[in-house]
Amino acid sequence: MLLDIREVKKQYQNPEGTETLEVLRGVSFQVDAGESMAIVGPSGSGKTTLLNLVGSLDVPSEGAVVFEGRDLSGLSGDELARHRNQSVGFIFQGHHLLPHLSVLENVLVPVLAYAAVTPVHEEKARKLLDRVGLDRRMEHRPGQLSGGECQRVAFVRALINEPRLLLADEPTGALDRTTADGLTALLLELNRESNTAMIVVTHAASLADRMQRQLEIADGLIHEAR
Amino acid sequence: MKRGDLSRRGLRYYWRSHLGVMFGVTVTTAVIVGAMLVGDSLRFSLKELAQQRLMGVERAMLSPDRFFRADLAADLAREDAGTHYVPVLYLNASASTSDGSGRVNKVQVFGVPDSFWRYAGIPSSGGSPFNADDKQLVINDVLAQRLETTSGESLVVRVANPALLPRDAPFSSEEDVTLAIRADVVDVVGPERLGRFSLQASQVAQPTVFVPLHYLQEHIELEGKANMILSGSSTGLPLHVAGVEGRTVGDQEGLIARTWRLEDSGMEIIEVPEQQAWELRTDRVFIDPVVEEASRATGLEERRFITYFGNAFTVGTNVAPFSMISGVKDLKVDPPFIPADLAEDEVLINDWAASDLEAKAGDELTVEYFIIGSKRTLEERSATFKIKGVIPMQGLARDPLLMPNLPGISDREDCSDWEPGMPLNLSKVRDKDEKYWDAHRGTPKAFIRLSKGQALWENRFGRLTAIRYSSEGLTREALEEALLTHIDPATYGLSWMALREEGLRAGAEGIDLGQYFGGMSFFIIVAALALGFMLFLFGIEQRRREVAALFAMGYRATVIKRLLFCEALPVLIAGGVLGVLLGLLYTQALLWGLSSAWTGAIGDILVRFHATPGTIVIGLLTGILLGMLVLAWTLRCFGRQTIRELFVAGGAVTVPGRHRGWLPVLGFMGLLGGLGMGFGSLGKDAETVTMSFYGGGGLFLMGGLCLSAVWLARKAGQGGTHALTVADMGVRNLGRRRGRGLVVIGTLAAGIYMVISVGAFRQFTGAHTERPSSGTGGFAFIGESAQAVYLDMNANKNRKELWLDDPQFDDVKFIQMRLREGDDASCLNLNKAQRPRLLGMNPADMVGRFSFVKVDGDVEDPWSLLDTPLENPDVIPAIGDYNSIMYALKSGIGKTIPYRDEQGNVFQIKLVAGAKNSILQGNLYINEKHFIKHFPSASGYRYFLVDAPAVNRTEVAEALRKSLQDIGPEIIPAETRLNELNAVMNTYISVFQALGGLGVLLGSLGLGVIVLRNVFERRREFGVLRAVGYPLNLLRRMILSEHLALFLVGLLIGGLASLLTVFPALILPDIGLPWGWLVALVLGISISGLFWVGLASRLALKSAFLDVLRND
Repeated sequence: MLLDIREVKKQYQNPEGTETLEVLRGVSFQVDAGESMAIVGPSGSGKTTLLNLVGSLDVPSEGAVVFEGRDLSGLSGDELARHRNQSVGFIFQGHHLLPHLSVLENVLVPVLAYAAVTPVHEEKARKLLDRVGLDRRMEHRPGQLSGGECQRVAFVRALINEPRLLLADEPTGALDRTTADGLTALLLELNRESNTAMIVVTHAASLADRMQRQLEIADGLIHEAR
Repeated sequence: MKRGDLSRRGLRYYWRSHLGVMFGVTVTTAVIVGAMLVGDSLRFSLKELAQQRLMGVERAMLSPDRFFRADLAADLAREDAGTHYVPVLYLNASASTSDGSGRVNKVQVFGVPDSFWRYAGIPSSGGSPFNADDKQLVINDVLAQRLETTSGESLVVRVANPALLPRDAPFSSEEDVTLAIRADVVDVVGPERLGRFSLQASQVAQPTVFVPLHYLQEHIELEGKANMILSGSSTGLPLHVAGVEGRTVGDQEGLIARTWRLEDSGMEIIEVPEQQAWELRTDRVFIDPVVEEASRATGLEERRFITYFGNAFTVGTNVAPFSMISGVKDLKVDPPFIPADLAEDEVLINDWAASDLEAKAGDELTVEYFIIGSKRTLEERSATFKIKGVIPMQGLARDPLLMPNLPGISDREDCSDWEPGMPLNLSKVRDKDEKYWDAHRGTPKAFIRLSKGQALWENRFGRLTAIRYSSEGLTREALEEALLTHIDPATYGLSWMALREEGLRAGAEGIDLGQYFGGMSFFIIVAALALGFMLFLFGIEQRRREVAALFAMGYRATVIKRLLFCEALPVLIAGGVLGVLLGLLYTQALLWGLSSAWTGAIGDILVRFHATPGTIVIGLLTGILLGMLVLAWTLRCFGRQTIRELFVAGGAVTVPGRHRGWLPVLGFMGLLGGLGMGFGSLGKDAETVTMSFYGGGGLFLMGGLCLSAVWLARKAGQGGTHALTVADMGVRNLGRRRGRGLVVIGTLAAGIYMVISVGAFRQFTGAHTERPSSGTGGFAFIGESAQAVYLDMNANKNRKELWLDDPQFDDVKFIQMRLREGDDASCLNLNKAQRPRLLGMNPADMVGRFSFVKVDGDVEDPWSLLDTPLENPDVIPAIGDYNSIMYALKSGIGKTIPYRDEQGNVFQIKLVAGAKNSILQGNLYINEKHFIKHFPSASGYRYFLVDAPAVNRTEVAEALRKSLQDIGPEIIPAETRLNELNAVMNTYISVFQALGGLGVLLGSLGLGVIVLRNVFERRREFGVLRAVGYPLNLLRRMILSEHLALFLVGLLIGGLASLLTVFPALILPDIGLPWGWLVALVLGISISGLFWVGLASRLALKSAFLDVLRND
């Protein structure tokens, strides 16, 4: 098992500190290596909160996030950062590319967090970009790309360190249908090839339906939709 | 790609957002570099002035109250060929034009030979400003300017007549204390020809007269004498610059020891052939105790004498006027002159006296004599002896040389010609007295034991008038050699003062304008850095999603901060470099200020721009380092945001309506505490009230800021049923960015508080200068004379003699002080005072005068401390002005300062009390009895504090100047002097307020930046408002109401806190307030704030909000 989410709860207090808002009320599920999963649910149901917890961007109020048998709550900030860098890849709805770097450089940014960029890394980035059809756009800046192209760059950037878990928050939310379909196909293809587990938060049924599993979140609880 | 590339590429892309950082560091570096260079420039200018003052002179050997052979200089030159030695007569004087139209009272007179001018590089032959070695004057340009005279015109220079016998000594003449030289000015010398020559390390040029040495020696009847020898280079340049390896002070002291003679100590050895003896005597009448000790140390047989002038000898009804009496002691002399069985109260008289008085053994002889007390008060005393026997006038009993050299007596042919320094009724002189004088001169008529004579007539100048040695087997040279072996030349002032070294040190350690300007520009630095880094923070807040993405990719917070730090670092360095360039301009601006509006801070000195690479580098590095520290702190604050917060639109989440519960409590405590602290002090002394209100204002400010934080939080939480208006919408927005709002309020309030409240420390002479506790001590005038007054100026009997018997002086009282020249330790001297002037006075005269900041001990009146012996008898207490002690001397109460006394011995002066803001500035005040002990030869009084009725003071001052014109008095109203001193501090406060005001204006510019930023962040909101039909002017009103509220709250808190601080100025009589300036400052700040808010609102509303909305 790659990921084990155990009775995870997340609460926020209201500004006055008098009331507690319970976003997640005890969520449990497991993810195996290479598995693809969609998390669906209405707006405000806690999908992104759950994704942040899974990706160690946030910490649960109660419960545990166990990755490859290791409870992430026991890790320090630096250890969590290394975990995110080595084991998790993120794709955001807004791609959050660095506007001052070229496409190729944006892809290599995660490498730089812990190592120097080598020709091997560059070669790997080029291949991945070639794979997503951006071989001619490698030296372009994000400002010179379309939304779909930016999202493909973000996708490649998430894969550059060969993560075991890929997390995507509405990855096609800002794209037109054709572009979104193309990107979805690409996601799944790479998922299969690299045996990377994938959790996608989405409203898009077309995307959710193509995942192996679907979890629906409602009232702070989660259940297997498919 | 490397990690560094991330920063480099970021910089290239986001360089505009780093311009704020550049601005902050540029201004900071400019201010620091500017301040430091002002300090450098002043030090450089003082160094130049010191060089100009001394030119080739390196050291001086000054014996202000004694005279030695002028040839000693030549003797030294023979031993030390590389150094140029010149003898000088240095006197105080006053100078006036021949028609009396111009007069300068404090003038230094140097009697110099032609070789003196070689210190200016002028050759002795042909280049000397003197055209002959006779009656003529060379004056410096300072005196020429003040007297409005020039070459060819005639001047009257009145110098102190420096008699060999101190004027305070018994038998000293009261006549001719001053001498006038009326001569033509043959040249006016400027700085390039030693026209600035002075012994004092001060930037103020002294009015100076140069007179040919020979002429001056003759004129004051001190032929062949000098009281100063200069040493140095004859090239006009310092020795080391001239390539001469100068001797050390120690070497030169050794030279003195080898070359000086007994004559240089004022002693002489005369032969007494009848007695086959050598006699050691002095023109000063009394032999110095050190010589007495040296004589004893020689181990020679000697006979000691103290011979005194008796006003009358009386036996029964018979009286013999004006007779000498000797106390004698034989050491190892066999047979002794004084029989061993002569009792202390017994006397031997000669047969002439026995006959004259019809006296015989067993009769009682009463001797009347004068004793000189303080201020030359004469007291006639008497002593009665039993006549032990009558001795024939032979041998020692008929030795006229036993009478010392009494000026006005021993050099006169007849008794009727005597001009003694005491009031003798010469009509009492009988014919037989004249005959005795003709036959025996001053041969003593009576002899007593030396110990008895010393008990009666010993004084501060000595206790012997002669020592005799048997000349059998002892040559004069051997005796002199034996004596000199045991006398340290330094005892006679024959020690070297390192003029150049001390002058340069005084300049280097003097007032550090760099530090002052650095401190005074503090608020500019704070405002610039706050503004610059606020802009930087805005820049990186715009990139928060990028930062969040980096977090998500596994970048640690420290790495991200380091990347951002490295990105900003080159900008920061570039800002520093730009700051250096701006700093050079800023220096010029400050120097211009110092030479115009702020001239009160440094006087008339022209400070020349001078920049050293070291200072620039230090300034640059300091500016960059400060920038780096603030940058690191800014990133630390930014890094506190969680990843989730970074992803949330709008950046950091402010929890609406929440504040820490204790904040309002703290706020009200601050307000009430501040008011309580200030008003609670009412009724106490002015110092306590001022400080309490200052502290209270600070507390009030803190309280106000706490409450404004609460107010901002409440604004954020407002809503519900509250009636919403457009203005209210704006004001309510304040709560969304409470940190920013608080920064604006805090910067404005703190700036206003600092700038205005510092004004509370302005020194005002006030309207109550007649009060003894005021800074004038209640005195009307301060007087300083070129020549000393020896008499008690308050005694009616002396007033006629001193021309003070005019009825308008009836209520005028003088406190006379003895003066030992030294450095001016007031804030008017930019150099560090090495040895401040010492004034000796009677502490009882000063009781109740002045107020004191700090006193070392618990006493009712600090002046009594000058009368209190200290544990260490070698340490004497002194009082000074507190500012002088702290800033000019860089010392403190309880600390000691080493001084060298007249005998060359080092003694310590302990500072026991510091007066508050007073005319005592510049000098240290010690007990007269201590002064006399350490400077016995310093006769008379040259410094006066004058009490006078409050009416007609101008007329009284003018009358005093006229009456005392012979002694060259400088009479300054005490209030004027205090104003001059206050002007220095007030100028510094003005500088602080001007620079602080600039900082506040910069702070108000920050307000405009925040307006722009806030509107930019909320452009989508404004887009929506525009979409639903809000007109632009409505939006403008909303923005204005929001930000003006911040501005007004800052202004209100700062204004109220300042008002509390300056409250004492409204109620205390001695303090004033520059209302005009304060109103102008507040108006300036208000106008600036309104301008920036208005401009920013206008610019912000030019954004196409609807486009933003459409793009979303």
